[in-house]
Amino acid sequence: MSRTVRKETNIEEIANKFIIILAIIALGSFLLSLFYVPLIQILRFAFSSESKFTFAIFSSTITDTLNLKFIGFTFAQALLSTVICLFIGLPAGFFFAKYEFKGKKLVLNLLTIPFVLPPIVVLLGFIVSYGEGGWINSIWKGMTGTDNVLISIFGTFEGIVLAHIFYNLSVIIRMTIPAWQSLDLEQVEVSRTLGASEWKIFWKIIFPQIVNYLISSALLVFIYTFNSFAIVLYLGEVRFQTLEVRIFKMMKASLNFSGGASLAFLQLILNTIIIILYLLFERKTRQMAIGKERGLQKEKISFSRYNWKKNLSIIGLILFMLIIGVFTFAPILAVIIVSFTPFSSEVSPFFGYMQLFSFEYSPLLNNSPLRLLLNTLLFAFAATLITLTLSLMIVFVLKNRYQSLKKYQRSISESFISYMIILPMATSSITLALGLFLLFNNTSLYLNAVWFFIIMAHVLISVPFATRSIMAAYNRIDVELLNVASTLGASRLRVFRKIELPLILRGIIVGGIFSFAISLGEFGATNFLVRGAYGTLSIGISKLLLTQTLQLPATMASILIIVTIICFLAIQKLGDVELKV
Amino acid sequence: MSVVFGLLLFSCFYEINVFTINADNYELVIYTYESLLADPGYDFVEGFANHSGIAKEDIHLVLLEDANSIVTQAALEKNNPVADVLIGLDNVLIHKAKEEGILEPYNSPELVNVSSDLISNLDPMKHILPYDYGIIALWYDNSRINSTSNPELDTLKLQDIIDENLDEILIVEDPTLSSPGLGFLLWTIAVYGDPSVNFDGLLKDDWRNWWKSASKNLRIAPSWGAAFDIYYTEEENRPMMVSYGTSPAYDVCHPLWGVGSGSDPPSTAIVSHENGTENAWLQIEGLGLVKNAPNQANAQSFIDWFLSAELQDNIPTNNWMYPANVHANISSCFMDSAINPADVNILNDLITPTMLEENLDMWKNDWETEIASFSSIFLIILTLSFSAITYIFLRKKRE
Repeated sequence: MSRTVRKETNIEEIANKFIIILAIIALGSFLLSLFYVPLIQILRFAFSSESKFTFAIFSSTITDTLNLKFIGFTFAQALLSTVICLFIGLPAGFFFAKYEFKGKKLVLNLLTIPFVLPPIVVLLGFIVSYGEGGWINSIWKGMTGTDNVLISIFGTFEGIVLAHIFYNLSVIIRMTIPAWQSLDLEQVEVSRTLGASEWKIFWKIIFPQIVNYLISSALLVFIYTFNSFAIVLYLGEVRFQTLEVRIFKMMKASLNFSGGASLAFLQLILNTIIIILYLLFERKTRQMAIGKERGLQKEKISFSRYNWKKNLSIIGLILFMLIIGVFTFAPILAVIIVSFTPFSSEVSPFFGYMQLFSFEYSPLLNNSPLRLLLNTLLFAFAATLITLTLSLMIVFVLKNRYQSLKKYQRSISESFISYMIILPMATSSITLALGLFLLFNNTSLYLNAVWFFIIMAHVLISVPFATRSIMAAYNRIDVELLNVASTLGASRLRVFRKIELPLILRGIIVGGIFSFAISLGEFGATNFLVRGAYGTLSIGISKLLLTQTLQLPATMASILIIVTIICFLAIQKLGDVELKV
Repeated sequence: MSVVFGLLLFSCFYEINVFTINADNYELVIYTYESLLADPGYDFVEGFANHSGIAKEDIHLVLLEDANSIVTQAALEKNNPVADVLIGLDNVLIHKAKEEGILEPYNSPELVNVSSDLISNLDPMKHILPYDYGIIALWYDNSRINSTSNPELDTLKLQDIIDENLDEILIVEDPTLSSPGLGFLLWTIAVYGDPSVNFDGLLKDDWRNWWKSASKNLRIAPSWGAAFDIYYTEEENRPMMVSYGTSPAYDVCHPLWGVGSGSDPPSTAIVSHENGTENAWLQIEGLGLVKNAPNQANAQSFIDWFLSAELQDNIPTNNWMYPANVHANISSCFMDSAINPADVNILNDLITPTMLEENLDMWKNDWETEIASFSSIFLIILTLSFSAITYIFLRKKRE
């Protein structure tokens, strides 16, 4: 009896191993051919000339005064944007943590929308509302009766920082809400009775409790602004370039491949450091959140007849929230309104939507607007399918707990995979595209079917997101359940199909929507790789961004806004999902 | 589920469709920039189709953002050329194109009708053959700025742009991306000179100083088209841009909205008046045959046709430049409102082709350095944040 059982498990184990090995091979070959070998190609361009190793190209590129300036700018704008986001976002997070009011969730979601929108759409909204001829400046000119503008966003430092704040503010708000909620107020009460000053209470009691949340959300905003591309490409004119823009310009305008590769390598190192720091602090916040149920007392917004000081502070907070709301939401609304505003008296309000079906703009867009829309959807659809398959494989390999019954040991290949997926996370979209381009630009696949590489770039960008979302769902599964199932003789595949899959389904759907939304609006890599007719809506918008007829690009942007919002709301419906890498 | 399946099915069909389009073998592939012969528009693809008998569908026209992208794109495809003809490279870009080795010399029989000055100024080796030319000029909208409001405009020197704050209303194009932008950069270099390469120019100064003073207020557009959009939008408050000496003709002789010759022109083009001469940079645009072009014979007959009077007649009032073919028709309206390159002192003679070839990359790089204003604000932000971080760390350690 015992012998047969053993035999069966042996077969089981072999089958299990086989499946895992297959998954590892599939994952490995995908990552190797589309990520690691392209990366090595970048290194080759940065560190070799005439097939000999040299450090000269790299060192001369990063010590070039112009490049140093732009590296300095990249840091400075990211730091400044992050700090300002923190200063605005922290009190806003407090507001949401402390007060209960009708439609709170809706307001929070509305505030988050800019963050989930494609960068090029955000840029268009920003130009429409804050540009020289934009709404804010028109109102200002009307009010003051002069021709002077209030803000000028093109070619100015403040324009770029403002756009970055607009884009990333919600990250801080959403990530600091749990910080405020998990605050241990007993300590505050105790120290207050002991006579500590409010300032001291904040620094000694409150600050240490929220500091990890602060740092991890700040690092996240820093990563996004440090790698900003579309916004700086268009608003920076030539004066301001992030590393991302610099690499792009070196590759496309001056054909300086080895210079671009050197900067890409530098950027990769910096990003990896920041990402590792982020993962470290993010883990800390998760540990802190455990076991803290009682936090900030929630309050309804109410005014007291006697405490005018409190009333004033509440009114202040509400006003503050209103300003943030207008600041973040006006540009999105503006895009939709512009899409219905005829740019001249000869066209109808639906000009933009009718143009979708015409070929009038084809010479400029290399394709009709409708085809751009179809391209966008198809790329997103394909990228999502591939991303989910790969992410599931990763989770399957990493979380192979079936063996945990028998002295489970993490095999080398598995830890290898877990490290292998950190690097794609730290790789900017321009660097991903650069690697693919340098390795494949002379192959016939690249020349004839560049859509393949565009989709693959989208996959590489979304796999870390999807994997983390599925992994988060997986971590909630009760391990005992799996152990019981396998003790009772369920095969690995059966365990997966009957227990794991249903339980992580929500995570898979969320991850899928995530990657769909990412692919939908991806600009940096697509713009780098795109050839001929394979453009997407983002590319189309970018081509029409500086024309007088903003109606058509606004229409395309409106479509992206609507689809993205639907995706976002679907994710929200499926449960609280963090906006994290 | 069926929706998903439907989408999948649809996507399959769609991709097949894409493949078949791609598999089409064109008989002629042309790369050019977006605005070539575009306004009000002469359909040169159709023109050549009628002339040659090649079906219009078999001629593939690829419009790139600007002339720079044409060279970049062709250079990327060097080993597997897709294009047969490149249109729109000028007397500066030719160096980059030659360096990349993407073109093949072609001695077109039509060149007998093109002035030899143009040919030798553009490319004596005939990798690129001139089809039109014109000077770079500052172009302004008379309704918003004129010589009554700004008397300095009549005898403008480049220095006046800074002294009279005209840089606050001027749009220039990025010389690393756009050819009129590069023409304007070379204009300033030829006027002020460059001590670092012992080039005196007209004024024996340093061109970098001009850009240093102007850079803060200038608007820099990525292309001529983008610059025009800013110029045209009144809210932007930029009624002056780097354009061509022929640009006023656009407002006067345009068949749709031109005011017609005789009435007051809506806009004016000016050059700079240093040392008592009217100085300007001449831009010559040319087209060339791609090395190892897939359809060489068609490409050659296209080039011949493009230089013939049949097409060249359309250059002045569709591309708004002077035609290279001496027999081409130029309307008197155009002649009256455009600045004729023959009437001004051409600065190109000061900068020899070798000098241009040797220094162009350095000049562009230095230009970017002047423009990228590394204000001390970055340094302050960086030092402040680093000191804050160290402070926090030190405090933490003490605790």
